[in-house]
Amino acid sequence: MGFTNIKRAAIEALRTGNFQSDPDGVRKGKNLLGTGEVSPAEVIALLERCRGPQYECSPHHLDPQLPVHVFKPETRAPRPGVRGVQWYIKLYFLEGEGAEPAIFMSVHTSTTRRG
Amino acid sequence: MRIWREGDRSVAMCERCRKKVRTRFEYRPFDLERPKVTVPDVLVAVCEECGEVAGIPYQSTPRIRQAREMALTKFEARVPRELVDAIYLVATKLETEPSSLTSALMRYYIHELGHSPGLATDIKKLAEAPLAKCPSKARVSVNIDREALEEAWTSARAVGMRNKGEMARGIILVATVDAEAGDIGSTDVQPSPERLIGLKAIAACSTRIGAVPEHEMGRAARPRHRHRSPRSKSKA
Repeated sequence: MGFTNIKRAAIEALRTGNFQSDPDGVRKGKNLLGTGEVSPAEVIALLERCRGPQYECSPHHLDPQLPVHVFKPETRAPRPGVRGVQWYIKLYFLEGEGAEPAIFMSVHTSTTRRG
Repeated sequence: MRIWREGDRSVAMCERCRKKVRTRFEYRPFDLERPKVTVPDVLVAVCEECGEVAGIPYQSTPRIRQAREMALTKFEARVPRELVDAIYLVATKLETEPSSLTSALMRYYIHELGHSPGLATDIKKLAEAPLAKCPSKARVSVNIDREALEEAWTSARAVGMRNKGEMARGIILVATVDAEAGDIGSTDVQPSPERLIGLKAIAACSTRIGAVPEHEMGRAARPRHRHRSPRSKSKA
Protein backbone atom coordinates (compact mmCIF):
# COMPACT_ATOMS: atom_id res chain seq x y z
CA MET A 1 0.00 0.00 0.00
CA GLY A 2 1.32 3.41 -0.90
CA PHE A 3 1.45 6.67 1.03
CA THR A 4 -2.09 7.75 0.15
CA ASN A 5 -3.69 4.48 1.25
CA ILE A 6 -1.63 4.25 4.44
CA LYS A 7 -2.54 7.81 5.36
CA ARG A 8 -6.20 7.09 4.65
CA ALA A 9 -6.06 3.93 6.78
CA ALA A 10 -4.41 5.78 9.68
CA ILE A 11 -7.02 8.53 9.55
CA GLU A 12 -9.83 5.98 9.43
CA ALA A 13 -8.36 4.15 12.43
CA LEU A 14 -8.33 7.41 14.39
CA ARG A 15 -11.78 8.40 13.23
CA THR A 16 -13.36 5.08 14.22
CA GLY A 17 -11.30 4.62 17.39
CA ASN A 18 -9.78 1.42 16.04
CA PHE A 19 -6.31 2.13 17.42
CA GLN A 20 -4.15 1.48 20.47
CA SER A 21 -1.00 3.07 21.86
CA ASP A 22 2.34 1.40 22.33
CA PRO A 23 2.89 1.35 26.13
CA ASP A 24 6.54 2.41 25.96
CA GLY A 25 5.71 5.68 24.24
CA VAL A 26 2.99 6.43 26.80
CA ARG A 27 5.28 5.57 29.72
CA LYS A 28 8.01 7.92 28.49
CA GLY A 29 5.71 10.71 27.38
CA LYS A 30 6.65 10.38 23.71
CA ASN A 31 3.14 9.38 22.66
CA LEU A 32 1.03 12.48 23.22
CA LEU A 33 -1.99 10.69 21.75
CA GLY A 34 -1.66 7.97 24.38
CA THR A 35 -1.16 10.43 27.26
CA GLY A 36 -4.12 12.52 26.15
CA GLU A 37 -2.22 15.70 25.37
CA VAL A 38 -3.40 15.62 21.76
CA SER A 39 -6.70 14.24 20.61
CA PRO A 40 -7.43 11.85 17.73
CA ALA A 41 -9.02 14.77 15.86
CA GLU A 42 -5.79 16.75 16.17
CA VAL A 43 -3.70 13.84 14.90
CA ILE A 44 -6.12 13.49 11.96
CA ALA A 45 -5.56 17.18 11.19
CA LEU A 46 -1.82 16.60 11.23
CA LEU A 47 -2.04 13.56 8.98
CA GLU A 48 -4.25 15.43 6.51
CA ARG A 49 -1.53 18.07 6.30
CA CYS A 50 1.11 15.46 5.50
CA ARG A 51 2.49 15.20 1.94
CA GLY A 52 4.38 12.35 0.27
CA PRO A 53 7.92 13.65 0.93
CA GLN A 54 7.03 13.83 4.66
CA TYR A 55 6.35 10.10 4.84
CA GLU A 56 8.76 7.24 5.22
CA CYS A 57 8.51 3.55 5.90
CA SER A 58 10.99 1.32 7.69
CA PRO A 59 11.02 -2.21 9.17
CA HIS A 60 9.81 -2.73 12.75
CA HIS A 61 12.75 -3.39 15.06
CA LEU A 62 11.14 -6.66 16.22
CA ASP A 63 9.93 -7.89 12.83
CA PRO A 64 11.67 -6.78 9.62
CA GLN A 65 8.61 -7.90 7.64
CA LEU A 66 6.36 -5.47 9.48
CA PRO A 67 6.42 -1.95 8.03
CA VAL A 68 6.41 0.98 10.42
CA HIS A 69 4.96 4.17 8.95
CA VAL A 70 6.40 7.53 9.93
CA PHE A 71 4.63 10.76 9.07
CA LYS A 72 6.44 14.06 9.65
CA PRO A 73 3.96 16.85 8.93
CA GLU A 74 4.77 20.45 9.71
CA THR A 75 2.33 22.88 11.21
CA ARG A 76 1.88 26.08 9.26
CA ALA A 77 4.67 28.63 9.65
CA PRO A 78 3.59 31.97 11.18
CA ARG A 79 4.94 33.82 8.13
CA PRO A 80 6.99 33.13 5.01
CA GLY A 81 10.59 32.28 5.64
CA VAL A 82 9.92 30.93 9.14
CA ARG A 83 9.64 27.22 9.76
CA GLY A 84 6.59 25.71 11.34
CA VAL A 85 6.77 22.95 13.92
CA GLN A 86 7.58 19.43 12.78
CA TRP A 87 5.54 16.58 14.19
CA TYR A 88 6.51 12.93 14.29
CA ILE A 89 3.79 10.29 14.04
CA LYS A 90 4.88 6.65 14.03
CA LEU A 91 2.50 3.72 13.72
CA TYR A 92 2.04 0.26 12.35
CA PHE A 93 -0.82 -2.03 11.36
CA LEU A 94 -1.09 -5.71 12.09
CA GLU A 95 -2.79 -8.46 10.07
CA GLY A 96 -3.68 -6.30 7.11
CA GLU A 97 -4.27 -2.57 7.13
CA GLY A 98 -7.61 -1.71 8.71
CA ALA A 99 -8.46 -5.22 9.93
CA GLU A 100 -6.78 -4.90 13.31
CA PRO A 101 -6.14 -1.78 15.39
CA ALA A 102 -3.47 0.65 14.28
CA ILE A 103 -0.77 0.84 16.96
CA PHE A 104 0.60 4.34 17.52
CA MET A 105 4.17 4.21 18.80
CA SER A 106 5.02 7.93 18.90
CA VAL A 107 3.17 11.20 18.48
CA HIS A 108 5.27 14.23 19.38
CA THR A 109 6.90 17.37 18.11
CA SER A 110 10.58 17.53 17.34
CA THR A 111 11.18 19.32 20.67
CA THR A 112 8.68 17.48 22.90
CA ARG A 113 9.97 17.20 26.47
CA ARG A 114 9.07 14.35 28.67
CA GLY A 115 6.78 14.99 31.58
CA MET B 1 -15.11 4.99 19.50
CA ARG B 2 -15.00 1.32 20.43
CA ILE B 3 -15.09 0.51 24.15
CA TRP B 4 -13.13 -2.64 24.90
CA ARG B 5 -14.16 -5.01 27.68
CA GLU B 6 -11.99 -6.99 30.06
CA GLY B 7 -11.40 -10.34 28.41
CA ASP B 8 -11.63 -9.04 24.83
CA ARG B 9 -8.78 -10.05 22.57
CA SER B 10 -6.55 -8.25 20.12
CA VAL B 11 -3.01 -8.43 18.71
CA ALA B 12 0.16 -6.38 19.22
CA MET B 13 3.95 -6.54 19.03
CA CYS B 14 5.36 -7.67 22.39
CA GLU B 15 8.73 -6.16 23.35
CA ARG B 16 9.57 -9.02 25.70
CA CYS B 17 8.60 -11.85 23.31
CA ARG B 18 10.01 -9.81 20.40
CA LYS B 19 7.21 -10.87 18.05
CA LYS B 20 3.57 -10.44 17.17
CA VAL B 21 1.34 -11.89 19.89
CA ARG B 22 -2.27 -12.24 20.83
CA THR B 23 -3.35 -9.98 23.64
CA ARG B 24 -6.11 -10.01 26.20
CA PHE B 25 -7.54 -6.87 27.81
CA GLU B 26 -7.14 -6.67 31.58
CA TYR B 27 -7.37 -3.95 34.22
CA ARG B 28 -3.95 -3.33 35.77
CA PRO B 29 -1.93 -0.57 37.44
CA PHE B 30 0.24 1.18 34.84
CA ASP B 31 3.52 2.90 35.70
CA LEU B 32 4.47 6.19 34.06
CA GLU B 33 8.08 7.41 34.06
CA ARG B 34 7.56 11.14 33.93
CA PRO B 35 5.85 12.12 36.06
CA LYS B 36 6.70 9.07 38.14
CA VAL B 37 3.23 7.89 39.02
CA THR B 38 1.33 4.62 39.01
CA VAL B 39 -2.10 4.85 37.44
CA PRO B 40 -4.46 2.29 39.00
CA ASP B 41 -7.06 0.28 37.11
CA VAL B 42 -5.99 0.95 33.54
CA LEU B 43 -7.44 -1.30 30.85
CA VAL B 44 -4.42 -2.58 28.92
CA ALA B 45 -3.78 -5.23 26.30
CA VAL B 46 -1.63 -7.92 27.91
CA CYS B 47 0.52 -10.40 26.00
CA GLU B 48 -1.01 -13.85 26.41
CA GLU B 49 2.43 -15.46 26.30
CA CYS B 50 4.45 -13.45 28.81
CA GLY B 51 1.95 -11.19 30.58
CA GLU B 52 3.65 -7.89 29.60
CA VAL B 53 1.56 -4.86 28.65
CA ALA B 54 1.65 -4.65 24.87
CA GLY B 55 -1.01 -2.07 24.06
CA ILE B 56 -3.21 0.64 25.58
CA PRO B 57 -6.68 1.34 24.13
CA TYR B 58 -7.78 4.94 23.77
CA GLN B 59 -10.49 4.51 26.42
CA SER B 60 -7.67 4.34 29.01
CA THR B 61 -6.16 7.66 27.92
CA PRO B 62 -8.41 9.97 30.01
CA ARG B 63 -7.50 8.01 33.16
CA ILE B 64 -3.80 8.29 32.34
CA ARG B 65 -4.14 11.98 31.59
CA GLN B 66 -5.95 12.60 34.88
CA ALA B 67 -3.22 10.79 36.85
CA ARG B 68 -0.52 12.83 35.10
CA GLU B 69 -2.32 16.09 35.88
CA MET B 70 -2.82 15.14 39.53
CA ALA B 71 0.89 14.39 39.81
CA LEU B 72 1.65 17.94 38.76
CA THR B 73 2.44 20.56 41.31
CA LYS B 74 1.62 24.27 41.07
CA PHE B 75 4.56 26.64 40.81
CA GLU B 76 3.63 30.22 41.64
CA ALA B 77 5.80 33.27 41.99
CA ARG B 78 5.30 37.00 42.35
CA VAL B 79 6.97 38.98 39.60
CA PRO B 80 7.09 42.64 38.55
CA ARG B 81 4.39 43.76 36.12
CA GLU B 82 7.24 44.83 33.85
CA LEU B 83 8.17 41.15 33.49
CA VAL B 84 4.63 40.27 32.55
CA ASP B 85 5.01 42.91 29.83
CA ALA B 86 8.22 41.15 28.80
CA ILE B 87 6.34 37.86 28.36
CA TYR B 88 3.82 39.70 26.19
CA LEU B 89 6.70 41.03 24.09
CA VAL B 90 8.12 37.50 23.73
CA ALA B 91 4.69 36.25 22.66
CA THR B 92 4.37 39.06 20.14
CA LYS B 93 7.81 38.33 18.76
CA LEU B 94 6.90 34.64 18.40
CA GLU B 95 3.47 35.47 16.97
CA THR B 96 1.44 33.68 19.60
CA GLU B 97 -1.02 34.53 22.37
CA PRO B 98 0.56 35.50 25.72
CA SER B 99 -2.02 33.53 27.71
CA SER B 100 -1.11 30.39 25.77
CA LEU B 101 2.63 30.96 25.91
CA THR B 102 3.26 31.81 29.56
CA SER B 103 2.78 28.35 31.07
CA ALA B 104 4.56 26.59 28.22
CA LEU B 105 7.46 29.03 28.45
CA MET B 106 7.87 28.56 32.21
CA ARG B 107 7.63 24.77 31.92
CA TYR B 108 10.19 24.71 29.10
CA TYR B 109 12.78 26.74 30.99
CA ILE B 110 12.17 24.89 34.26
CA HIS B 111 12.75 21.58 32.46
CA GLU B 112 15.88 22.95 30.78
CA LEU B 113 17.17 24.38 34.05
CA GLY B 114 17.17 20.94 35.65
CA HIS B 115 20.03 19.79 33.46
CA SER B 116 21.77 22.94 32.29
CA PRO B 117 24.26 24.64 34.62
CA GLY B 118 24.83 27.26 31.90
CA LEU B 119 21.16 28.20 31.91
CA ALA B 120 21.20 28.30 35.71
CA THR B 121 24.03 30.82 35.61
CA ASP B 122 22.20 32.97 33.04
CA ILE B 123 19.02 32.91 35.11
CA LYS B 124 20.94 33.89 38.25
CA LYS B 125 22.62 36.81 36.45
CA LEU B 126 19.37 38.16 35.06
CA ALA B 127 17.59 37.70 38.39
CA GLU B 128 19.96 40.47 39.57
CA ALA B 129 19.02 42.82 36.71
CA PRO B 130 17.27 46.09 37.62
CA LEU B 131 14.06 44.97 35.84
CA ALA B 132 13.86 41.95 38.13
CA LYS B 133 14.09 44.21 41.19
CA CYS B 134 10.95 46.22 40.41
CA PRO B 135 8.07 45.78 42.89
CA SER B 136 6.45 42.36 42.37
CA LYS B 137 2.81 43.22 41.89
CA ALA B 138 1.91 40.43 39.44
CA ARG B 139 2.05 36.65 39.62
CA VAL B 140 2.82 33.76 37.30
CA SER B 141 1.45 30.31 37.96
CA VAL B 142 2.12 27.04 36.16
CA ASN B 143 1.39 23.36 36.75
CA ILE B 144 4.49 21.24 36.36
CA ASP B 145 5.60 17.77 37.40
CA ARG B 146 7.25 17.72 40.82
CA GLU B 147 10.41 16.01 39.65
CA ALA B 148 11.17 18.64 37.02
CA LEU B 149 10.58 21.43 39.52
CA GLU B 150 12.79 19.77 42.12
CA GLU B 151 15.60 19.24 39.61
CA ALA B 152 15.33 22.86 38.48
CA TRP B 153 15.37 24.13 42.05
CA THR B 154 18.45 22.02 42.80
CA SER B 155 20.23 23.62 39.84
CA ALA B 156 19.05 27.07 40.89
CA ARG B 157 20.31 26.68 44.45
CA ALA B 158 23.64 25.40 43.17
CA VAL B 159 24.29 28.83 41.59
CA GLY B 160 23.10 30.74 44.62
CA MET B 161 19.45 31.53 43.95
CA ARG B 162 17.64 32.03 47.24
CA ASN B 163 13.98 31.59 46.38
CA LYS B 164 11.72 30.47 43.57
CA GLY B 165 10.56 34.01 42.89
CA GLU B 166 14.13 34.86 41.94
CA MET B 167 14.14 31.81 39.67
CA ALA B 168 10.88 32.85 37.97
CA ARG B 169 12.06 36.43 37.41
CA GLY B 170 15.37 35.22 35.96
CA ILE B 171 13.57 32.75 33.66
CA ILE B 172 11.33 35.46 32.19
CA LEU B 173 14.30 37.71 31.47
CA VAL B 174 16.32 34.86 29.92
CA ALA B 175 13.36 34.10 27.66
CA THR B 176 13.24 37.78 26.71
CA VAL B 177 16.94 37.71 25.82
CA ASP B 178 16.66 34.42 23.92
CA ALA B 179 13.74 35.72 21.86
CA GLU B 180 15.45 39.13 21.44
CA ALA B 181 12.07 40.55 22.33
CA GLY B 182 13.23 43.62 24.22
CA ASP B 183 16.18 45.52 25.66
CA ILE B 184 16.45 44.56 29.32
CA GLY B 185 19.49 46.73 29.94
CA SER B 186 23.18 46.00 30.16
CA THR B 187 23.93 42.28 30.50
CA ASP B 188 26.55 39.78 29.39
CA VAL B 189 23.94 37.03 28.95
CA GLN B 190 23.78 36.13 25.27
CA PRO B 191 20.74 34.79 23.40
CA SER B 192 20.85 31.02 23.01
CA PRO B 193 20.00 29.81 19.47
CA GLU B 194 19.15 26.36 20.83
CA ARG B 195 16.71 27.70 23.40
CA LEU B 196 15.21 29.96 20.75
CA ILE B 197 14.41 26.90 18.63
CA GLY B 198 12.65 25.39 21.63
CA LEU B 199 10.78 28.65 22.29
CA LYS B 200 9.57 28.85 18.70
CA ALA B 201 8.37 25.25 18.84
CA ILE B 202 6.37 25.74 22.02
CA ALA B 203 4.98 29.03 20.69
CA ALA B 204 3.78 27.31 17.52
CA CYS B 205 2.27 24.43 19.51
CA SER B 206 0.61 26.64 22.09
CA THR B 207 -1.53 28.43 19.53
CA ARG B 208 -2.22 25.49 17.28
CA ILE B 209 -2.72 21.83 17.94
CA GLY B 210 -2.74 20.79 21.56
CA ALA B 211 -3.17 24.23 23.15
CA VAL B 212 -5.31 24.56 26.26
CA PRO B 213 -5.38 28.19 27.36
CA GLU B 214 -4.94 28.68 31.13
CA HIS B 215 -5.40 31.53 33.50
CA GLU B 216 -1.88 32.23 34.59
CA MET B 217 -1.89 35.81 35.78
CA GLY B 218 -2.72 36.45 39.36
CA ARG B 219 -5.40 38.87 40.47
CA ALA B 220 -2.83 41.65 40.76
CA ALA B 221 -2.26 41.51 37.01
CA ARG B 222 -5.92 41.78 36.00
CA PRO B 223 -7.40 45.19 35.15
CA ARG B 224 -9.31 46.72 38.09
CA HIS B 225 -11.89 48.83 36.33
CA ARG B 226 -15.43 47.52 36.01
CA HIS B 227 -18.26 48.65 33.85
CA ARG B 228 -21.45 49.21 35.82
CA SER B 229 -24.75 49.49 34.00
CA PRO B 230 -26.86 52.44 35.18
CA ARG B 231 -29.62 51.44 37.57
CA SER B 232 -33.05 52.93 37.19
CA LYS B 233 -33.98 54.95 40.30
CA SER B 234 -37.63 55.49 39.46
CA LYS B 235 -40.27 53.32 41.12
CA ALA B 236 -43.58 52.36 39.62
